[in-house]
Amino acid sequence: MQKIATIAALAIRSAIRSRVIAVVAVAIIAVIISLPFVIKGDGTPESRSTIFINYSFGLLMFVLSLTATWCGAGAIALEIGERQMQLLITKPLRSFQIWAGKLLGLMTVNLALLALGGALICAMIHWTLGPAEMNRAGQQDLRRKILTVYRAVPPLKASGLQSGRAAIGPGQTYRWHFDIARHTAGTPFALLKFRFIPSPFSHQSPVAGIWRAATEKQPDLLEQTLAASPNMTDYLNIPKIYPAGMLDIEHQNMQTNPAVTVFFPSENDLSLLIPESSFEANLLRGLIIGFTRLAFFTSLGMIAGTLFTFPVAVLASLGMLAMAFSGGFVRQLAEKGLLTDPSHEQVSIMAFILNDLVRVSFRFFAFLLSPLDRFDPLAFLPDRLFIPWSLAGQSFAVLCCLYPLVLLLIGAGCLRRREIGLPSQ
Amino acid sequence: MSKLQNQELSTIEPVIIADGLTKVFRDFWHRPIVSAVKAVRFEVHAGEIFGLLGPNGSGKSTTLRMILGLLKPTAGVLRVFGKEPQDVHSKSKIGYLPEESCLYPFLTARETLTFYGSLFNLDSSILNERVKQLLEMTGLEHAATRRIGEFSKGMLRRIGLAQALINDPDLIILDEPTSGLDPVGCRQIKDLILTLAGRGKTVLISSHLLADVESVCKRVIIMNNGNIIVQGRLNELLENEAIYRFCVSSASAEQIQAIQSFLRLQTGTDPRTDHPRKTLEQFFLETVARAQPGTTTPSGVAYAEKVAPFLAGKSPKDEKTQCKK
Amino acid sequence: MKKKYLFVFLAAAFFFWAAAQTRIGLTKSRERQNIALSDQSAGNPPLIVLTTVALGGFRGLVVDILWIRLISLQKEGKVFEIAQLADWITKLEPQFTAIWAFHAWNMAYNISILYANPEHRWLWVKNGIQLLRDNGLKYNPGEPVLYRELGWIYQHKVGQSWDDVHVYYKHKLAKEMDDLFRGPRPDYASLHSDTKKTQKMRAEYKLLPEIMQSIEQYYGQLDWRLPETHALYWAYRGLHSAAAGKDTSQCDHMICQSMAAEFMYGRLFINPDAGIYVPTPRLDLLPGTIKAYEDAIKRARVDYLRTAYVNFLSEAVFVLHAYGDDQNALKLFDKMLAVEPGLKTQMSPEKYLRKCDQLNITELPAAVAVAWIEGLLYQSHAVAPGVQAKNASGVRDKALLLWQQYTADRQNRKSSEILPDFEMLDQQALRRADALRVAH
Repeated sequence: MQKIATIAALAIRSAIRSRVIAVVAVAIIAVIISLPFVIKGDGTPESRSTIFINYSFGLLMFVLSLTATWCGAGAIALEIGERQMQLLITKPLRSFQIWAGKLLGLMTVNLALLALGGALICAMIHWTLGPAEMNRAGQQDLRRKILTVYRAVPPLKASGLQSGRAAIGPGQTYRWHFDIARHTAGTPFALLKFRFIPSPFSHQSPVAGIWRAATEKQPDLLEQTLAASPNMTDYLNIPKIYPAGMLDIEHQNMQTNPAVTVFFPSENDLSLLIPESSFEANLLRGLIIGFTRLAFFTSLGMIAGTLFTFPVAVLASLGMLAMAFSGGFVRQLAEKGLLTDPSHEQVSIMAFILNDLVRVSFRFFAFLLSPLDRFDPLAFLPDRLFIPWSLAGQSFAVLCCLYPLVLLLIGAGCLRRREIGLPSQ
Repeated sequence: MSKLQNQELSTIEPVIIADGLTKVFRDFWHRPIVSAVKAVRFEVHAGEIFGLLGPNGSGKSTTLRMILGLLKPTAGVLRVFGKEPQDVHSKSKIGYLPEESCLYPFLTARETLTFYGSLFNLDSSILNERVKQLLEMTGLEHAATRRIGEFSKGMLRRIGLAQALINDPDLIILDEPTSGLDPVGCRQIKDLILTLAGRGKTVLISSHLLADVESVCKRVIIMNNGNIIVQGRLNELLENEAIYRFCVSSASAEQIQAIQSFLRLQTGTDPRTDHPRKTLEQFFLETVARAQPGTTTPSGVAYAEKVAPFLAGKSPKDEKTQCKK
Repeated sequence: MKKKYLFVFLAAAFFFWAAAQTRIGLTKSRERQNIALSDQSAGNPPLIVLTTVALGGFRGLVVDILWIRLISLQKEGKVFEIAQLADWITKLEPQFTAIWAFHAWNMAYNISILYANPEHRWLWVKNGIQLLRDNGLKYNPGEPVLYRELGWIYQHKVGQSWDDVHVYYKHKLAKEMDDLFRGPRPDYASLHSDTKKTQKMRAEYKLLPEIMQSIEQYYGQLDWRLPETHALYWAYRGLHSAAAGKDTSQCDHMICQSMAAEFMYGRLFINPDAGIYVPTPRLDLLPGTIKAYEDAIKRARVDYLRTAYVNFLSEAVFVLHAYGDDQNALKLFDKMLAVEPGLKTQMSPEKYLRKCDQLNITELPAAVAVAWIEGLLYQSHAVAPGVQAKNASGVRDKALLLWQQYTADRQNRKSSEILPDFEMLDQQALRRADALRVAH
């Protein structure tokens, strides 16, 4: 363990003395502090704050992911290239100790930079919530809006249907059930987040409807007529709910002239948002997940650094990083390949084979990168959705323990097998 | 020449055994490009100062790297302290001075030694003491807090040597140890090698500077084109049995003439008479010693005369302690 | 060995040459499509220079990523970020006019309509306006297309009735301008001393008093609370700021359309608090409108403006006739025939005016219907010389009948084309008659 700690300390010292930490820290400070001045949003303070959370966290993660990957690749490949590894290998060290030490050191660096970024985001978001043009009450209201984090409760699954899916014709009514039993103290208020698609699709004007909410004890909790815009995520305020097992939400489509059917096509299109936590605590959990992602990127970079020379390693790991940041594109290639519709395209047999090859290889990448999709703080933070501790824990187990451990075993094995003293090195 | 010649050495436990050691370098497609070492066989015994000589590209660096576990033999047997070269326990008994600096440029001299020392799990008090002694020995005390990246080539060799010795190794592998050093430094290293050998340490030297090898090595192998072409004790290899030399001090010209006449009469050949010369190295060292005793160079190197006490086996503290294995 | 090096050298030289050829072609193509930073970049702010020059070819990639995000967010109905993305995309491609035009249009049209709340809709229409006005024109001051696009948002999105909440937009714009000018138009004489107001006009609305004044001097006094006046202003600026060789015909069209609209409904009676917005014709703007058309026809390379001019003149004849000014209507008819001699054989002036009285009002656009009704009401109030006095109550009854016919028809059709209250129109007509009386 002492040897691992020694290597880790060396990696940290290297990051400090090579001014990596200073440069990245300055970049983070500059980006986060300048962001509120360049963000305009749609003209409302709420959108400015929301965009700030989204962009600042996104940029922080992007910069740190890039740094983590780059440093990971450099930690091994550069040392091989500059022959320090030649000397290190002659010392009584096992390859996994070198690997684990480097990983640990870089993760400490990540942690420090992430903590700096997190603290700055927190400070700046509080600063943006006091716009000069707003009065005190307005500022407080904005603060409450932005700094409240909600748990998204999906509707219970109806038999044979995906939860939340519904098609409601003109004059028809549909009811969703939400299990709110876990909120034993009730909730001071809740939001119903919804989005629907109209039929006919060309219909763009607001669609009239009545929303009703009820529990056993509060049968008339809410009845509200609302003209809601199609295709637009909208929110409905639900007043204080006393402890209950189930909340029923009913929507009656009143749009009969012209007749419009409303579709709620997926489970993301309707959910009950219950206030759960503060922004700061949620940000902390987000940062933990962010840290686990960085651990993954660092070990990815280190694997590349173990297998290739520095420039190749950087390119390879940046390629993986690019794929990680464009998950949708990877998934699309994994599902469909390069041909958008092979059955209707005049393509050669070679193109088919190539397409299948692409599909198979991207399926592998999609599988490899799937935890990154699952553990993505940006899917929660900008929408002010609650990040459960369990998710942070799972992310830690998968991205910070399982993946790096597997990569460590592979990396250490490769390092052991690799001939460090080749004349070319 | 592939058989071991010195029967007396075979009774001592060999530190390095190479038998049929072969290394073939291959390209990306795994096609052989060059056979750098071709089925060589040699042994290095404990307490020996062993020289590995040969022109560029003869395979001596490849052999060294295989011994250090940096390259894997394509064929043959290679044992260091009776084990595979990659074995961690064997490595803990080795000190290696590479030909070029392989140190971290962002560390200071003291940090460098502490870092490499920590890899041997040395007790911190011992480590600190050894770092101090080595800095003193290599004359880098004044440059202890300077970064390696700012060091001159000579200073790099010195700090490189110090890191190689931090674990008081049983086997010291020195690749071109005197390259880049001034004659004083060269002499120090040679003295050090002799001291270490005196303590039963094994020293393996690879060098182009034959004078250096000659002055310290007991046994050498000469490699060419991947093969060992000569192997044996240096004294035996260099001795010219056909010629005799008599040395006489304080004789008059008449006495010398009488001796010459006598020898001419006895051997039938014309004996050659001259005055023995100092080596240039010897002359230089004496001159420098007279001119600047104990001074420090502008680069911060002090010319120390002592070998670090722990290496000379003199320090009572060191005698009591050992590396934690 | 030497042969090998020679070959490598020749190959390298060839590829350098080939790359240079491609580069020259690409640069030319970029210049043709106006997507390369031209010499104008020298005056651009550091941010633009940084993003365009320092990012080099990568900025295309960044734009793609931002655009993909924009599309996916819009698809998901999460639009709060769109203005920001549009701002960055346009700044990364600052001289790609189609991009400015697209994003302004996307915000003003596509996104605004997603909101049910008129306030939010107006915010997005303004976002579209601001993108072009505050940035697009700053980086492309010589691009008439962008002036025209900006004018179009005022003229079409705010000025016309396609949007459900167009009246809200009109009120908001009128309120903003009223707050700025304390009336329908600025008092140019006092502007010199009122630096604060001038500063706000220039900095926030980019309304330059000297240009506003020259427009009014040329076309006639305008009501700046009307969206059409803003469309006219931007088209006018586009016409006069266009870089050499740029096609300004669309600005010309917009000036003509705006002036025609000013003539048809440029007289505004408004009370935003009571939700009253009554636009009626500005007969005094006829000469200005005619000037606009004739100037445009002189400059035009195509002939269809002449048709638009004839259509306007025929409507203007109708409007003048509706207000009882047959004398000028006949003169205008002659002018129409002079512009389009082919019409001479088809109809005599008297017959044309008679036919006007027999038109089915439900087939007319709302503005013309308003003119007809208010014209009749005006005739019922007017006693001034030059206006042919008729049976006042009979005329008023006809006006009411027409109003009822039109309103009933539009109610049946569930159309958003709603006429102002009859009483409102009557008051406007009375005010018009009173003004004439005072003038005489």
